[in-house]
Amino acid sequence: IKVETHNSPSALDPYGGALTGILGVNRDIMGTGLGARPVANTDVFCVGMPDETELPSNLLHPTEILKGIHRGVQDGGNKSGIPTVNGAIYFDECYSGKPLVYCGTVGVLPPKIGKLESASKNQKAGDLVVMVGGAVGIDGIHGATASSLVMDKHTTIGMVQIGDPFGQKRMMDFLLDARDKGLYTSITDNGAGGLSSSVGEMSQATHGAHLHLERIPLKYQGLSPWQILVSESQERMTISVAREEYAALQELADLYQVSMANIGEFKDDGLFTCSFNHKLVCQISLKFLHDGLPKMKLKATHEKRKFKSWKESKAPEALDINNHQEILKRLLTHPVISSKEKWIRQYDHEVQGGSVVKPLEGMNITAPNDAGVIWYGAHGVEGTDGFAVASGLCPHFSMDDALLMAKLAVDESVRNLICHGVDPEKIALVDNFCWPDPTPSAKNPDAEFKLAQLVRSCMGLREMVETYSMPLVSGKDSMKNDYHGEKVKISVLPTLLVTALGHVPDVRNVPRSQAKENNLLYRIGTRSYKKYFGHFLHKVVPHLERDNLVEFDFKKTRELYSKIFKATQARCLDSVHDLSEGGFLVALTETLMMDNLGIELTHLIKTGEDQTSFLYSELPGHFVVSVPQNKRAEFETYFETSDLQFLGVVNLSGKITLNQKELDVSELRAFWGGNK
Amino acid sequence: MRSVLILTGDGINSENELARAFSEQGAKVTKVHINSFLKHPKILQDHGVLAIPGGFSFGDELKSGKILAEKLRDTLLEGLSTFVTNGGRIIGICNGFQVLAQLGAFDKNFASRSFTLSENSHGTFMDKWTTLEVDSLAAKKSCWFKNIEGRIFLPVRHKEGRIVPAKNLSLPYGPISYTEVVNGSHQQLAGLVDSTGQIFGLMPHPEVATQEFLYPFRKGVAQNVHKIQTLFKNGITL
Repeated sequence: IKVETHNSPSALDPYGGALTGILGVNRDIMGTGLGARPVANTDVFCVGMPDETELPSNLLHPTEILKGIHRGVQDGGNKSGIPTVNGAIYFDECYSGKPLVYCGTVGVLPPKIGKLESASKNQKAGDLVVMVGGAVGIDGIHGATASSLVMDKHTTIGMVQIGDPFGQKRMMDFLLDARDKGLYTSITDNGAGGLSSSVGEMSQATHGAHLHLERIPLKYQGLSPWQILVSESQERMTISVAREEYAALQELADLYQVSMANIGEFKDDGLFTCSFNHKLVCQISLKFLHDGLPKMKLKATHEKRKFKSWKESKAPEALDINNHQEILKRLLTHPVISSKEKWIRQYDHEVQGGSVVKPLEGMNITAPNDAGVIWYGAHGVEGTDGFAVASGLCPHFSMDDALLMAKLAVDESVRNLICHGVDPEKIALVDNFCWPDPTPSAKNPDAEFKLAQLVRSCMGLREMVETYSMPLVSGKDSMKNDYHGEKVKISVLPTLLVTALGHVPDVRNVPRSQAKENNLLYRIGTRSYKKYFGHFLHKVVPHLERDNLVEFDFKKTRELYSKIFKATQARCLDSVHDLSEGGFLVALTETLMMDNLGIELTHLIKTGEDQTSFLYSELPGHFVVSVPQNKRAEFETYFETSDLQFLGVVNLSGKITLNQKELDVSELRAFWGGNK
Repeated sequence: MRSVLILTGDGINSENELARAFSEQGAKVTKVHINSFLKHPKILQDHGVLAIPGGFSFGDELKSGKILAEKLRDTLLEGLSTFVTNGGRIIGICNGFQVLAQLGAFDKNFASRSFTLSENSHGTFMDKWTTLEVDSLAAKKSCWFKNIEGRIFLPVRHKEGRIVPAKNLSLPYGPISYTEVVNGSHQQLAGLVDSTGQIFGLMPHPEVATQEFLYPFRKGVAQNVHKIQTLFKNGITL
């Protein structure tokens, strides 16, 4: 699994930036071990508010950016034949200067390919360096360095390329066939830095490489040797090939109509060497190339204060905290919470034939699921197990403290997996940091504070992976997510995306988000509801106090996940849906809305608890679940009494009855916006 | 039982799940790259079914299925016609249907094109499960529909699936149609067969509907799986 960000290119050219983002992360998977097959894409977009009106004139409107990045990722996934199974679109004014575009891909590898461990890299000195796929032009030169600069009025669109998913699909088909025929010994993708980076990395294993730059296929003449070396032209992979296999590889490439070229050889002289028409143009010791850059030293200073937004947000209109109909209307119509169906439907979710849990449940009337689940059987594995992938993203909590934000992002990604039958003992995590610039300069006076938030988010991340006992297997960072205009500077909130990948022991036994008639509905969670904690109720109701959640016990949450997994394995759960943005009433509505079901909620609040906290808190580790009546006794044995709260029996009324008042589920669903 | 030849390469996807759907019914399935097939077109004679999966051959540039159809036309057209005359069966799903449509496969001797598959009326790619109705005469008119009747559920995943008939030519028989407006297709048709009933083109994807756990809903799934399995079984039955 790998997740990439392509923020700067997507700010300049949303379509091209996002398209090369998804195609690039597909190549990362193709470059894993001996070459994995991409089997699922994820996409998470963070953009400015759709109703933004105060934007500096040289920035694209968030709505235009969203349309472009959506179309880019859609083309990249659909035309490559890779299902997009999970994602999110997040709106906040802090992303008006620079959108965040996270593209992720999951791949599968058989344990062995021929006699080789599939996770291995086996290049040897003497093997040929072979470049496969597209030709090289001046496009994308300095792409990697440009994306680490601050964007201003001098930034140009010329740095962004337009990808070619069809060309890449052909290349991938060829490479997977070549892999299975044992025609190459190692593989890496050409991304940032082009050949300098891919061959530079691969040559570490053999201790040297020599490139003949005049042999590299060009799109047009006139490139200098250095340009050929660092060009980031898309759709290229680098492989190492034993000399005796070269002819067979060329024959296979011809069949697939994929271009390839022998551009040099791996050596063991400790040097990275390039010649151009037999003239030496570059020779650097590998040690210097990989370890020569001195580490940057930066100062971090923590202070307790809030992040300041570039603009004042409008305070919501006054509202009675007991007017649940109106609160729910405001929550369910909020762009972050409302249905993304019109976007989701434009991605192919089921190509490759393994998509068990898709982003939306239902046919004409739909409801959201929490993770994507893929059956391994579609990828040549016997049996009924599979994997699930989900994400956690809650940058709004960075307003107060990035440490808490990081913890909550981890929990959200994990609990989304727990909803769909994942074993908490078998989860791996990926961290992607997108930060406002933490390096000091005259234009950036509070760099030390932002760096401190980065340190604190890492502390939170570490604490969580230790508590949950889940490894971080991959990650990336993007540190310059700021726009410097003449009058205004727009910086993103510290944003950590956590992507979680987990094992599903039996895809036939995966709860979805939707309850059934006559199910018993429970709320599961480890905490009482003394004081409200969350974000989105603040967005819609003015003057709310909130808890700081400092004392939250994630160890108990982790134990709870094991209990839910056991109950799922015993088929005690028909549906599981987590509490996220908006809290309990939103999750309950989503659980009931596909079949327009209802429930009478009575005696919910225990002594000493707060109704607002119960109904709207966005607490980690909390779920709404439904249980078949004949499983009640068994279900309850898996939990402590304090973990569970019985809510009632699901009926066909289409009404949620709360405090003797009725909330109409189909009306709530219409607010959510899934109706066409 | 018939063996199945499945085309791959040039951007085609869904070949693996289509292969699985046929082999679940016991068929021997061979996948062949388009370029290999063009070099050795006679391998078709060793098979009873040709299957063209969908989609995105050549990235759907110019028009869905257009470039692949042109690539196949000169070498294969005569062979395909003979293949069908000798009792061979052809199925094209989604992009495969678009390729067959471009080749004129549904009109006599591949000699005309009585319809085209145009852009959806709503203008975008759409992945959505739909309800379809099998026509009461379908089983009589096509070997693919033996013992299949009533409603079935399948997902559509296309941008160009709207059947638009040509003027002055009669449209081939449509054995299956959507029960609601999905893409603006003529008479809500989702698939067509040629006059022999052996060539079948379908926009929705039956190859992802052969297992109960692949459905995004619960009602009527077991029954539906049985119908879809029957469809693939029909294709390979002698």
